[in-house]
Amino acid sequence: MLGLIVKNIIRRPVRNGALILSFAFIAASLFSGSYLLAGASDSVKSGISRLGANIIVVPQNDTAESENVLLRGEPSTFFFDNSVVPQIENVSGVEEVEPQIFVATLAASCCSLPVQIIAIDPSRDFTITPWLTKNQEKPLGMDEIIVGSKIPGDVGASLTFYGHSFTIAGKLEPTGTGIDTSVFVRTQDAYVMAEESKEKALVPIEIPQGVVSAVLVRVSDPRDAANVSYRIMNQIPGTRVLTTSTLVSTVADQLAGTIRIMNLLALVATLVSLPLIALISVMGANERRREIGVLRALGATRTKIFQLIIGESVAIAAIGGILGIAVSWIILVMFQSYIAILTRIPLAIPSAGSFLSIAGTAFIITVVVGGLAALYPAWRSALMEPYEAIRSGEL
Amino acid sequence: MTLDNKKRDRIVAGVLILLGLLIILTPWYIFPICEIAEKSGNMQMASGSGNDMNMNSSTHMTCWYTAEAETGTGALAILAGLVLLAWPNRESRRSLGIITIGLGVVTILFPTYLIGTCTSPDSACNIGTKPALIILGVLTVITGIYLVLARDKSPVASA
Repeated sequence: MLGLIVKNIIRRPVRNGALILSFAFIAASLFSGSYLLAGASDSVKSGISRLGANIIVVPQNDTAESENVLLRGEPSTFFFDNSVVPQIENVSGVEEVEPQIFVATLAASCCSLPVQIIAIDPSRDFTITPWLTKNQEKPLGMDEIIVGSKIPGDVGASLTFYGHSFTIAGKLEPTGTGIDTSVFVRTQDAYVMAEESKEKALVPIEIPQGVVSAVLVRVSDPRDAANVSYRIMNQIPGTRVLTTSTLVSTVADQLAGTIRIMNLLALVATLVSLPLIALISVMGANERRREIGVLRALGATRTKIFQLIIGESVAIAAIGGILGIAVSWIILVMFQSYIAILTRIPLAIPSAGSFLSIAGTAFIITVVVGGLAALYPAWRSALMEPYEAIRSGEL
Repeated sequence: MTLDNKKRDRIVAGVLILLGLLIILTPWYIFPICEIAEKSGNMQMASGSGNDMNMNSSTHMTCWYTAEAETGTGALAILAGLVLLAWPNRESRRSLGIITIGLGVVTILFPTYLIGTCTSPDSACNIGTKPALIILGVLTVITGIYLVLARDKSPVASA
């Protein structure tokens, strides 16, 4: 029976090619929307896990800026008083805190766009130091920096910010988030740079004493992160918390429009092609009355004929589904950065697990649509009497 | 319904001409290179490098030369399509197929190896122009392989 299905598909290349294309379109629109969402949420998750924090506390008035720093790599400078650090430490459920200072550079010599400098305190750091010890077993030294994957320059190269020269000690793996365009320096080096900038830089930078931009928090029980963030916001006025889930939902909100369009496209494609596919199947079944009659006369049961017509449609839908998913996957991977900039979302290649579930869902829906479209013609063909079918097919 | 030789050659020639046009238009209009993208300012993205650093009145960014080279490659692909339309026989199909494969390969090699693109991974030429040209190059190679392998069909075609 499979051989018969394959032969029937090959015999009508133009018609079946058109059907395969319409199924490919349905599968591609279904796949792309979910892929973008999974890619964005995986990117945020890997970015936050790179930071090693469960919660990020930022100034309430600068929530949007801090989201931009983390999600889109749009550098920003903002501070709040460092008196919040001990207050956060005292909130129940908080295990460790790490204050960081965010400074946006002007166009630096290395890069055409501003870079986010993140000043860390190595004695309290749980973001970069563990990564460093894992990768090169030595702490961040004086004037050494760790750079994100998109900062040009290899380990050992020197970069100058505000007239102060730094040496790249390590390069982080790409995450698709703002971390890729960030430069991590020691807080004391950042203050030296700010001091020197008054003489060495065209536009000096000022980092006031006693400030922080963000406080990274690690909680004792990650399942309790939501409650801890609620307590922090309640107990310490003027703060906002960012967690993986709030950032993922920010990105999801931003993507909502794009995904709605993708799903709408899939729906329109399905609504348009479903009757079209059904019509083409009916026409095909009519043209093949004689063939069906002969098959019936040779002893094929009604069920067999029904299975044959449905099988053909499902096979066409499956080919179209695989084609659509493969092509849209290649395009999404190749234009990943382009899409990320266009939609202003962080984007990473989703994990194998989420890729399989997205591709599987799109494929199953496409195949089911193919099967549904062929139900009526299959039922009609199965009901044909062999003699009638052969006779009417001759006319 | 199956396709006879003449129809098939016309379709392949059309595909070649279309690919050639796309290869020419991509770096200048569809996914413009850094200098063009910057001028039109339709996308807020990093340029390959600062204007003052890599560009002055007489020199261009690296991606500019890739775009110029691709214009030539695209024109040759169009020419191959036109030749196929003019002499649709087995020999020309074979030789044009091999030339088309070569054109596809250089379409990919110009932005990736032979000339290259700008240094910043976020520049317009790296995120848009380069992947688009690679896809077009792969499609051109596939078209070339099809031309080389395409067999002459018997004139009797079943409906």
